[in-house]
Amino acid sequence: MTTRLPDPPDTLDTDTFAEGGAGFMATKMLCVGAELGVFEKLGGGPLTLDQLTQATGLPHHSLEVLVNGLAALGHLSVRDGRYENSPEAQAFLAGRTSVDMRAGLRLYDQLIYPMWMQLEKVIRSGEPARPGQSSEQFARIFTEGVEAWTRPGAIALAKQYDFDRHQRLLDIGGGTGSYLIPILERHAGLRCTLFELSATIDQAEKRLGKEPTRERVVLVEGDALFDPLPAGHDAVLMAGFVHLFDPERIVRLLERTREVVAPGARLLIVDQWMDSTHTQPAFGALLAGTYLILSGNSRTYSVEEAQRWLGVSGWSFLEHRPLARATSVVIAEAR
Amino acid sequence: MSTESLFERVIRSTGLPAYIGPSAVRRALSLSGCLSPEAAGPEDYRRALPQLQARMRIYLSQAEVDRRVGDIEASLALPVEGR
Repeated sequence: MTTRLPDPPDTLDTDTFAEGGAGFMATKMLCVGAELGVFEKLGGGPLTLDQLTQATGLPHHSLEVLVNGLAALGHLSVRDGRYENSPEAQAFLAGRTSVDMRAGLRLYDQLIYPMWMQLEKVIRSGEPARPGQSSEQFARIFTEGVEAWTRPGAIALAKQYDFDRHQRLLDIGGGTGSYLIPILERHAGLRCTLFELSATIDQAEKRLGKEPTRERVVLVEGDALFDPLPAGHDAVLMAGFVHLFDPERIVRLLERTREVVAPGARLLIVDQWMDSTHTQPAFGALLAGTYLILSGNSRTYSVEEAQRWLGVSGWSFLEHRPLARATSVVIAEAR
Repeated sequence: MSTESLFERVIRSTGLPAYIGPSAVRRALSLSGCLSPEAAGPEDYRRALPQLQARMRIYLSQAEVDRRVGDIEASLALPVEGR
C-alpha cells in the first residue's frame, strides 16, 4: 500500500506542471500561425484584426484567439490595436528573407507532433511510431524540415572547420545536401559525394540542381549499413545521422566507414552531443524523444560514448567542438 | 477495403522506421527486377522478399524479421486498392 505523505509545503508550486503540461499549446499556436500564413500576411507591416481577417480569409473570432496567443508567446506584438511580427518572426517566418523556418515548423507540426502522440506506445513497445502520411509525403516534409533546422549548424561547420585541407568529402546520410551546400560554397577546391537512401536521393538531386556547386557533387544511392560505401575520400561527414541508430549499429557504421578511407582521413560527426548524464544540452535531451519515436531504439548520445565507439572502430578521437545551439561536432582521424 | 496502397502496406509491415522502410522496399523491388515500385503487385513483392529480408536483418532481430515477414506475406494476400 502507498504511504500517504503530509500535505506539500506552501513553498512548492504546481505551476511547474501547469506550464510544462501546457507546452503543446504554445507549439500548436506557433506552428498553426505559420501554416495559416499569419506571419506572412503581417510581413508587409502591422494590421488590425479586421485587416488580418480579410488578408487570411480566416474566421474573425478564431483568428483573434490565435493572434492573441501568438502575442502572449512573444511571436507578435500588439500596439494601438494592430498586430505586428516580432523581429524573429519577421526574419524567419514571413517568407521575405533567404532564411525560411516555416518548413522546420511544418516538420514539427505535421509529422513529429502526431508521432509524439504515440510516445507512450513507443516507450512501452520499443518500436518506432508510424507516421500518418504516405512515405512520399513523409520524405518531403522530413527532408525540407530537417534542412531548415540544420542550416545554422551547417553554416557554423563550413566556417569553423578547415575543409581546405581535404580534396574529397563523403557525406553519409547527407539528406538534400544541407551541410554540403555551405561547405562547397566556402571551399572551392573540394569535391563531394552525397550518399543517401533512395527515398531522399531524388530530392537531393532537385535541391542540389539549383546550386552553382552542383557539378562538384556526386550522388550515390544506398543504405550506409548495407550497401558498399564509396571509397577514395579523405574526409567523411555524418551530420544528424548517428542519432537514428542504436550503439551497436553506430559502431558497425563507423567500422564500415573506416574500411573505405586511408589512415589520416578525418571523420566529422555532427549531432546534439550530450554530457555524460545525457541531460545537457537540454534541447538535446528533448530531441532524444524525437529520435526514439522515429527509430524505436535510438536517442542523443554523449561525447564519451562517441569516444568509446571511435576507439573500437579504427578511429582516434581528436576533439569536440560546439557549432550552433545544441549542435556540435566530434572530429576523429583514421588510425 | 483498405485505402492504403500495397507499397505503403508493405512498408508498414516491415516494422522499419519511416525514414528507412520506403527505401528498403524500393531497393529490394528494384534488385529483384521490378522497375516501378509504385505499380508493383503481390508477385513482385514475393520475388523481392529475400532482398527485403536481408535489409530488414540490418535493423531488426532475426525473430522480429521472421514475425514481420509473416506480416508482409499476410498483407500480400489482402485485396489491393484499385486492383
